[in-house]
Amino acid sequence: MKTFLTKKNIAIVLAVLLVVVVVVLCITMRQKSVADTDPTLTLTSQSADADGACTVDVVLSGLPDGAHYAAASLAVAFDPTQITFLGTSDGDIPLVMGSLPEWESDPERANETGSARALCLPEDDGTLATSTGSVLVRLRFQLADGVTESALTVSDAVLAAADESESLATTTATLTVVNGTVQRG
Amino acid sequence: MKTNKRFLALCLALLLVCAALPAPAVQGADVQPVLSAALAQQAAAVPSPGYGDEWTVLGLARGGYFAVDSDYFARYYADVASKAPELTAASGRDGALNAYKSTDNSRVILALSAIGRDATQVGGCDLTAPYADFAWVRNQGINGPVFALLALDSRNYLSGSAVRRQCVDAILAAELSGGGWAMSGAAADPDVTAMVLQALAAYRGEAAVAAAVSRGIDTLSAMQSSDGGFTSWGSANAESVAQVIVACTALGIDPDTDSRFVKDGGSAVDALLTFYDAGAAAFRHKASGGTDSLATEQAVYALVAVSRFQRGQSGLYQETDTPTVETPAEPDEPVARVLCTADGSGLIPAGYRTVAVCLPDVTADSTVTFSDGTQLLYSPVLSERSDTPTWVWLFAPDVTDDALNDTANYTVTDEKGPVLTVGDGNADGVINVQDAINIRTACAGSAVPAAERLLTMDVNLDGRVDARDVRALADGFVHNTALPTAQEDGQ
Repeated sequence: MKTFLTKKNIAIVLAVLLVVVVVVLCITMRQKSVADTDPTLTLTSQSADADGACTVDVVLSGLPDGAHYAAASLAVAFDPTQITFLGTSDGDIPLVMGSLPEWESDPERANETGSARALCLPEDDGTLATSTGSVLVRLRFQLADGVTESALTVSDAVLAAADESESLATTTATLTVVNGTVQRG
Repeated sequence: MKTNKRFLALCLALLLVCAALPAPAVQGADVQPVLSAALAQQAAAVPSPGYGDEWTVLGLARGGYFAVDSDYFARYYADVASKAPELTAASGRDGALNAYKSTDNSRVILALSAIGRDATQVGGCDLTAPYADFAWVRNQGINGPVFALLALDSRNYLSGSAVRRQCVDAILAAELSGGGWAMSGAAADPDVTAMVLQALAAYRGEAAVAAAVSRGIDTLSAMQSSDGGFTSWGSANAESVAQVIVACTALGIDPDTDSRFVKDGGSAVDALLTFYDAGAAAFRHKASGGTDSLATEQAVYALVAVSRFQRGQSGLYQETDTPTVETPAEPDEPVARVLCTADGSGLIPAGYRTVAVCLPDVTADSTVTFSDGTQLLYSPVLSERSDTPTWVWLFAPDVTDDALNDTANYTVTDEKGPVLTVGDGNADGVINVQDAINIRTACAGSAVPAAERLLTMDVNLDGRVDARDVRALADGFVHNTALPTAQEDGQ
């Protein structure tokens, strides 16, 4: 009577199992890798200077290659009794044409409402070269006297494409945000 | 001798002729020339009557100087109608022009009745409503009930209401022991007594009232001066005799010939005319001194009362014979207003109109559907700005203004309907730069979006979806302001 448990069969089974394990591990690792590179917008704060002034970088990461974003906007909620929004300064993501895009904001209104809003809307055909840099824009705040730390929360952010299905936005959960704080050094 | 016979025959013939003539009747003075001049002066002195000119209006209306449907009285009515809402709101009492003084209402009602207007609909106010509360009526002592009766009887307002009974009882209770009435004290006052008699004239069917009126007449007669005038508060004046004259005419007594009101020096009417200043065509308060507007008002309507009495017309305040002047219905507030009309240059087809609809008594939690089945979009922003729930739609050119303003063309259901969020073209609940890009993309394309989407994209509400809306949306985002940016018609 022949037995199935021959050395040859056992070796084949083990080999198959090994292949399966390797495949599963690869898939798992691949998924983890993708998760690590989800499009993300992060508020990266530098420590406030002695006067309480602080710059917050709005950093993009994990963007898909070859995307063409025609505009961007973000709204950051803050406590105007603790910090004052001073305005924006340039990031390092230029337009495809080469120049840095113009960002619009209204600090006075922002400090009334507690919502710092920044918007970049290049003229027709202007596209952000997101593969060139990582800092979309910088937000400048001033800590109030006696305040050592205050939270910043992104309430809305979007990298808008002409084809909305290619856009990245918090409203569609295609853009992850990492909030930040403004704090003294 | 022959001559004497002829002379005697002539005398007899003259006597026969004289005997054949009718004996002259006892006639009153002809007040018409004075009245005509005084009415003309009143009209000239008050060219544009308004609230507060009631006695002038009464005199001119009852004196027939202007027709009741004349522009002159229309101006008065318009002024009262415009002020009544504010005054009644300030009084805190429904329909009351004054929180304390019912005579303000009574005075206006008498004037309105004289010009044939309905006092129950004056600028949306029912001026007769507060009389239901007798406590308000009697605030001013006997004056309140007296003028309340005159006002309510002028056009038979509040028929069946208890207020008349309460007024009559209050007046009878206030009669002085010797007859007559006064605001205070035990001595009868001619003005107050006369005004009471004016008010009670219509109630003489009651024995108690008839008796009190009779005593009042006797009191007034006894108070009359030898010159036919009356003295109040220590001085003979035009107003007192004017009130007596009005009372007499209301009671069917001729103040110029009735023995009770004719003394050695003249009648009550004669006495009133002594206060007349022919040069000014106005009356003085006292025999000496200048003319006085209050004296003129009262003397004029007293002469009107005499004139009407002499002509067999109804009493001064018996205004039920005045033809009713229909007050033009206040046009309904248009339910639809056009915010903008498309010229076809920016996605929205030419002639299409963005229309805001505000329906009376419809709450924000309702669905409004036009007769063609279109569900209008509720606009929170426009509702807040107009303080009225407002729905919006983009109507085709063939929908007429009449159709839009006909409330019958709208169906309302008690469930929350679709909401218009101007700017949020992708309906993700957030207005951001994606919406601006979408407008830009739509403008570059050839397809015309659906009406609902066009309404969200016409951010500046100018009837066009174009680059200006992209800019307006961006500005709205940056400045964190509500959209649409424009209030009306792209302004």
